[in-house]
Amino acid sequence: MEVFWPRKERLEFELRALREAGIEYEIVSGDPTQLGELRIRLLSPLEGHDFDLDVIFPELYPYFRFQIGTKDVELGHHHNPFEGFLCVIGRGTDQWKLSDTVAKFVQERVPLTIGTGAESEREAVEGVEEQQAEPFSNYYPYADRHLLLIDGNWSIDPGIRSGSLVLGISRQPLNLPLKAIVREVRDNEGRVLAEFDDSVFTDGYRHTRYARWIRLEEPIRESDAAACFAAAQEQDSGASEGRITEFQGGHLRIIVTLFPEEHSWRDGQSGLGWVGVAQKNMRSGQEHFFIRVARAGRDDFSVRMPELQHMREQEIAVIGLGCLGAPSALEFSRMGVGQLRLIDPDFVDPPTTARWPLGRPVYGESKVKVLGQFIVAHYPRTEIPKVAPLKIGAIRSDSVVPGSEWEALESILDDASLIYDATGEHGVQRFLSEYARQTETPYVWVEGRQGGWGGLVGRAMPGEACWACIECAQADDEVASPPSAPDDVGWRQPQGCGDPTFTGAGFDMHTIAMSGVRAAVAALAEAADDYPARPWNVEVISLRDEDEGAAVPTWDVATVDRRSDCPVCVE
Amino acid sequence: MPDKDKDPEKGKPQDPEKGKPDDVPPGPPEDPPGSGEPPQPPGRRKVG
Repeated sequence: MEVFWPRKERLEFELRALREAGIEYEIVSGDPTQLGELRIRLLSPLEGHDFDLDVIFPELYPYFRFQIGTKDVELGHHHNPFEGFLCVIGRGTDQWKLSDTVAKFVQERVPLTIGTGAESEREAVEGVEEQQAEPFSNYYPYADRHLLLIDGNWSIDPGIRSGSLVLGISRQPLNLPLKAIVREVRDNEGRVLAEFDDSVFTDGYRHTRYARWIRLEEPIRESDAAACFAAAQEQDSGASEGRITEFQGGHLRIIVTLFPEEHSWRDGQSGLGWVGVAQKNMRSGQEHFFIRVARAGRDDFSVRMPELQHMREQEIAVIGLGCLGAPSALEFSRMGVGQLRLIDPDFVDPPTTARWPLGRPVYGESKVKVLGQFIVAHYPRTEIPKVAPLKIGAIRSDSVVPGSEWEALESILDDASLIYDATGEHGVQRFLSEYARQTETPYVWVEGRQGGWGGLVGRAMPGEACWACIECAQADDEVASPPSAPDDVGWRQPQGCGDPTFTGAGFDMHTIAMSGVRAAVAALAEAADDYPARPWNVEVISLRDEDEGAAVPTWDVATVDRRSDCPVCVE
Repeated sequence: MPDKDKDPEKGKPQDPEKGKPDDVPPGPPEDPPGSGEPPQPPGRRKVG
């Protein structure tokens, strides 16, 4: 298919504009009439400067911007030190306008960019440039998939110039790519300067390897990994031991360079940049590559959702791991809830995975088991100390959970910060809500309706309206009813299933599940800067109109007070 | 399975002994232990 936009005409327009502006150029590579990148060189286009500028038009030009750059200047800002690109406009794709041309940028934006890029005084550029940090470590051409993890909270004594890193890897022998956690930063005498003290997270990295680290006054301005390694090695005057990391088929020498860099806008390089560079030695020869250093400390994970820090210490019992409970449990673990306890009797039946988070590798497995394993593997800061494949209240002909059901249940529910009931079972709700009421445990329940047409989220806090109060309010029509598909649309018995089930899309049920998660997070909020608490205790979610079909999704909320006629909580 | 709302005993011949005044069993206690059940909101099945 031919491209659907006038690419060729636009490039011709660009070149004509350059000629009209008196800017000489030559085509370095590419052909304006063909697909592919077009590279041109502008010959000394800037007044007062004698260097050329390189311009690259991407294949999808002009939907996406051209890049202008030079490697003949060294700027502290707005300049990629390795590729030479100048940051003439902000990075967002919205910053590029069709009316922008190379000729115009050379006359207006490039001089401004070079001026602000060379400026070191923050006050001089305030209001001129975007307030965004430019960490130097971002510019290195890292090898795919290699990664070292550190804690962004670390502070390494600036007086110490070098030492060793104790790395943790997950498997022995080490297979590349290297994915390791920096367990300890040591000085040359072996004293620990910083350590990853989050044992829940580091437990997955049990085997030890070593690397070197050196502190530099400034980053090594070298994008070739071999040259960078040589430069780093030359500056490492410390002990040579602990520098070799064996892997299947050879050994690595790793040096991590630490240097001052920006972590917030024009902060005077008050942050610490970390860049790994490795020499890979094999029988077949030697290679070098850069290793990205990523931050994975507990606080690093909170940066994107500071309002959820209060969830770290919570212990939530999730009962029911269907298409409401399973995505809810995953969401709790993603946000870093301290502990989840899981109850569900089912195994993973293949067709149910059409609206369940995991798929084929877990067919036939116990839901509590595989979801628990998945969470521990992917989100290790959420502990899963207890799971039970219990069908609450059923006569048990097997001994999946030996002993007393009540004792098994109590061991899971005991001292939970919140009970999250996603069973959609009236009888189970009745039992669990009463347990919650008597133990003064917050109780949130979430339930869908046939067809995935709607659902309800309820919250019963200690001393407030209980689950039964809210059921009574619904029975008295004081709370709206979620829409529900009629049985001929919303109720099916799949082949071979012992019970009918409901129809409904996973994404509609997901909407209801996430409302339940939001209610649970809000119910556990305490401080002013936590995710906002909410005054209402019922949400009725409508995703369809029972008569018209499609509808604007609505959330009707209600605040049900304790009822004097409640058959449960009235005293 | 039998439908809960359909009484399987309906239509069967009456036990001739039943109905005698002396044999009327005592009724259920007015407030059986385990009560405290709220009315179920009408109509719509909960699912999850």
